[in-house]
Amino acid sequence: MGLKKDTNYIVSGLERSGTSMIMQILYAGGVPVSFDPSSRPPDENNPKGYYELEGGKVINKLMEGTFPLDKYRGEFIKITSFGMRFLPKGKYKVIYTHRHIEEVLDSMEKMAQKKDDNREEIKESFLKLNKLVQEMIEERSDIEHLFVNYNQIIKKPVKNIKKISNFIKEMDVDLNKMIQSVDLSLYRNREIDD
Amino acid sequence: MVKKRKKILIPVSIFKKVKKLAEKENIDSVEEYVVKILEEKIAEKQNKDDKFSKEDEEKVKKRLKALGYMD
Repeated sequence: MGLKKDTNYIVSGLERSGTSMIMQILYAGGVPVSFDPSSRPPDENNPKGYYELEGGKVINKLMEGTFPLDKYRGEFIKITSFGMRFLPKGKYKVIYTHRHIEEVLDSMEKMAQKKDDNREEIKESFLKLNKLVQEMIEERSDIEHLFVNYNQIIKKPVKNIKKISNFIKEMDVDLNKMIQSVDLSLYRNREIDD
Repeated sequence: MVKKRKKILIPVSIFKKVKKLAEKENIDSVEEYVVKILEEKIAEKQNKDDKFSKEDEEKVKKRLKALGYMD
């Protein structure tokens, strides 16, 4: 059994909140995922790749109403939080990831290679966007959802990846490969002191 | 990077309620959930309006364009 052909499967969350990691976990487990590796190849910010379509610029097409969602039914694609606001009515299963906002902003600064002078302001805007999209996901009757937490996946990959596997119960996955795909070495320099 | 943390004490009754809410959002750690809720609440308090405004939208769009996520 595979993913349902009448459903759009989406990995979402704020940019730099672990959406690529979730795509990588799904891909490792044999779950159909769609991405275009040539549009934005792996770099030091995402050494394992971005798992994006069209260089992650799906947002523009969703805003214009020209993104071909029907083409991607039955496979996971990545649509970050901002783009989720423009999802037309349909049938969706969404894995939405949350990460500490300070880590998200640290990662954005690293990617931009400069300190953010307006960090507090942009933090509030991203938090509000995140809240808005999470509430929308919960409210919409055409969206089945699973909220996951990036920091928890790093700390307890087995437990949290099992939740992902249970969410996509319509297909058999290789759970061991999914767990093994979480490369803790990428995160070893982080200070996690709780 | 996760910042250094300080301990605070909360009533057990509130802890239990928060734990239930955290489980609903699939967050195993009550601490992680409390941090998430406080982040949102602080943002609300600092801004009188907690809605994602046109101004917020423009700020986010500018950032996403700078990082190559939008045209």
